[in-house]
Amino acid sequence: MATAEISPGVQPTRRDNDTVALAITVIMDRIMQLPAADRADFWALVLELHTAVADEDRLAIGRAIREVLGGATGSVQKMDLDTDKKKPQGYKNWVKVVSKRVGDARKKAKLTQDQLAAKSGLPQSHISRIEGAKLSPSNATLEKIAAALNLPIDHFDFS
Amino acid sequence: MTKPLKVGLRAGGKPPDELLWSVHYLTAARDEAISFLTEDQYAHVVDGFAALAREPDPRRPATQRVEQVEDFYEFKDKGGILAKINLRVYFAVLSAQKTIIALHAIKKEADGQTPKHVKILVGMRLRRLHAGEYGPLP
Repeated sequence: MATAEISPGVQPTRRDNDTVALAITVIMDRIMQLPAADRADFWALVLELHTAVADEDRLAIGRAIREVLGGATGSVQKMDLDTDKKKPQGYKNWVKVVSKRVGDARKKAKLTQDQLAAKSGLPQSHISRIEGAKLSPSNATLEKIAAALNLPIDHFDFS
Repeated sequence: MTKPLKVGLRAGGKPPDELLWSVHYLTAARDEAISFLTEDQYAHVVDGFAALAREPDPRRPATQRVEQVEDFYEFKDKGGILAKINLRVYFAVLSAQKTIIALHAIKKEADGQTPKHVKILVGMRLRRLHAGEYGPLP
């Protein structure tokens, strides 16, 4: 595969032009072989690239275009949801602190887990898992707990 | 005469851990996630999907923030162990198979609408998934 760069301001050589022509031919051939839906995605992404302002978006669109042209890669794998699996230390530290803060705040408000569940709209089992340091709660969960206990979110989310 | 069997719930017992859905991911989505998440943050995201798997309907969960985007869903989370990362994971729900499949992961710089190129990419991955291009459906 040709990878030579053509520097700005430097007149491309005939060899450079041949490389570009070859690349265009290959890409055109790939486009023509795409199923109709993928081809529509390709052109939609090209239009997005034309109007993208942020570098981050341009890079993401470039990756998406390569994926459209390259076909499906990778596979489907099952996510390991084993809660007893060994967790990384930073995660364990975070979960330990947040679980204690949730438990302490609930007890200070003189609520049972069931009462906090009813006030927050969360399942009691979810609150039990948080207090038992069995899971790292989402921002959505912490917002609900904070609202139910009339506390600011940063009482639990001290990041 | 045999003794009657007593059945009851034990107060303070371990919470039910039943997963109502299985969770799968495209390896491309996993690679995207681990490109910007630490090991600790990735474990947090796995917890989020485990919580979704315990929900009767992961499209309308009580424990996570999820919004519908076209014919797939957007899982949103930020703060906490994620710190400054504004995480988005796009997933599909295969009701017949009781399966959730993560299709794409990004960190967003700002809140707001899902970018069009993300919708195109996720739509394409979902189409290819249904066509069996990533292998048989779970």
